[in-house]
Amino acid sequence: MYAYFVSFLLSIVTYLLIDNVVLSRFYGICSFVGVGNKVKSAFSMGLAVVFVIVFATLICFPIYYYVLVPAGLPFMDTVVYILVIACLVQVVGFFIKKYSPALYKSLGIYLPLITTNCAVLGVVTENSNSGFDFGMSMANALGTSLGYLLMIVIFACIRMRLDSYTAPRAMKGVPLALITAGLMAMALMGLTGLGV
Amino acid sequence: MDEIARKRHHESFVAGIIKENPLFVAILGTCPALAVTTTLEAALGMGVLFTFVLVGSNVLISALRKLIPEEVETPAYIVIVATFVTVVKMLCEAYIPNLYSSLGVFLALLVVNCIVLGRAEAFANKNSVYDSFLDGIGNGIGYTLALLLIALIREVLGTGMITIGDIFTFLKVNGASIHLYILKGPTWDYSIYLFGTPAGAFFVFGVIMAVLAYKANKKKDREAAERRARAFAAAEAAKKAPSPIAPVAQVAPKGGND
Amino acid sequence: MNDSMKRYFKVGGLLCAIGAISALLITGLNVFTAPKIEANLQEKKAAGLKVVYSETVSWSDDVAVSGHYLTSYNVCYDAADKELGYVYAATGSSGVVKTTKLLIGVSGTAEAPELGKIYFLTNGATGAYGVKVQNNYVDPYNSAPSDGALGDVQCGATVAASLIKAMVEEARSSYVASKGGH
Repeated sequence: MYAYFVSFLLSIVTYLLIDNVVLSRFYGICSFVGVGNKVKSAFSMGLAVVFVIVFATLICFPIYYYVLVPAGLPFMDTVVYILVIACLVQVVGFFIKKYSPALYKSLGIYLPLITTNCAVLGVVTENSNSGFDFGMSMANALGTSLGYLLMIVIFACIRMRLDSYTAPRAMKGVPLALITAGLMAMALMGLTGLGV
Repeated sequence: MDEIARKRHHESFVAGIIKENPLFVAILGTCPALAVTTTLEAALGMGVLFTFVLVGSNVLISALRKLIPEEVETPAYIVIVATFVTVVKMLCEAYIPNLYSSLGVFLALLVVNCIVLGRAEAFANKNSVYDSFLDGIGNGIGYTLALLLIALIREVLGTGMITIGDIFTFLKVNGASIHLYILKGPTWDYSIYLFGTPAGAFFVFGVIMAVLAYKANKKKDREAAERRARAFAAAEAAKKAPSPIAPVAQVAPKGGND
Repeated sequence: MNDSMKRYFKVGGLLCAIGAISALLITGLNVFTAPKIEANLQEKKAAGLKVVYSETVSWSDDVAVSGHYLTSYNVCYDAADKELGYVYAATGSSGVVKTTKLLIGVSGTAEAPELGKIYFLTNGATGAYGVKVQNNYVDPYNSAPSDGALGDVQCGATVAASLIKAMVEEARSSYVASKGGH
């Protein structure tokens, strides 16, 4: 029991930092590059992604193991998962609009875009392809989404500072952001020395 | 009428390749572009499969565009695209298993690829089947070329050699893959490992975008300079041109006594 | 039935039709591709058997065996029909390491079992860890299979190496039990 809990915590740390979702596994880059330099909207978008990924895993894990596999239809997983995620994002948007209109307005266009965020479908598909049990699936979900939140906030802060410096004209905007992301990825590469 | 229609078809095909390249101009579909471009063959495989999915979903959505009402557009398109992706995934797993294990989960992630859904909602549900087909092929070729460019740079600099035959096993010669030794060979090794890692992917992509921005800026500057030169020349011509009253006024005071 | 109800039914019916057609298409395609995928797996396993015991010419059918990781084993024979050893197939995952499928060779007698090579059918450690477990643990073990090389799990991918060690030890004890020892 204790060993399982330690392994659970270690998995969260691995997915959060060492095998980071954006900088190492390459999910969710479109929204990562497009979030710009507004830290507050980056933070709210990260929180929404955390919410969606955790709930998507909670729903899709039982669907795969108790509905699709016993029925002999494991190949229908992509269709079922993406429909579940689309519905979940609509429901989350509905609740956010009802209970916190300010947050809804600050999220703006980013909320429906979470449906097409590779991270959500990537985490859910990875869980079923890799044969993780429920504990490891939740570790994957939590680590991935918290890693996304962390990286997107750091990235927005860096870009906010970058905009106040002069840069060569050809590098302004997206090229400089990508090279910054590369430097962040290099920083995380040092952590792979951890003997996990 | 025929000429205009042919020109429009031609435009929607060519636009997807260079002028509106989905990866470098619209910056969509970046997740597979950075993840599968470690080797040239995987990038080519991903590009070809992406083209299948895009063309298939474009054609089907365009064929059904009059039947699907607007409120249920999104779930219907999602189901259609997901069906195509599952079909492509199963065929790939059966007939090219090396490509399937090398692409991993990114084959399933073609469902949420921004390009596929974007072209479906922006183009396919407003245009005819033939136009959507051309648009799909154009965008697919553009995306494949972009992936191949990134993969070429990353593989040559990162592993030092170009390997052919690991994934498309029918290209193997005498049962072994073909290696083109460039930076790394049997006795020399000048490859830069960084380019095979995720950080290198970001660097290569960023530098390519910077080069393209530089060329676009140069073109913009040249056009702005030409426009300024034309406006300047027009202003000069307007200043130098004699007004109709002046010559008569000059001739008039010529009278007088001698 | 007023107009809006009819419209709901029409739209719902259309969505159900699209869903049903897609489900039928996928299921129909599965009937064709599933045997091919199975054949691919058998081919990969045959190549793996030849890596574990290089003189393998023929092998028995899968014999099911119960265990935490073990699923089945095959008895490998060389050209003279001499038994080379048992090759166990083990499947498992642990922590961050995804589903790993391993072929483990064990030969010898019940009193003195000899460990053979191991071969990945699927390497569950991803990214840098996959490379590390292959280069720092599996390759040195395969060059000289022994208890010492098996126990040296500090290779930079400890979770994956510990999983492999557990699988190999379970294969060895199952071999000893099946040969009549305890």
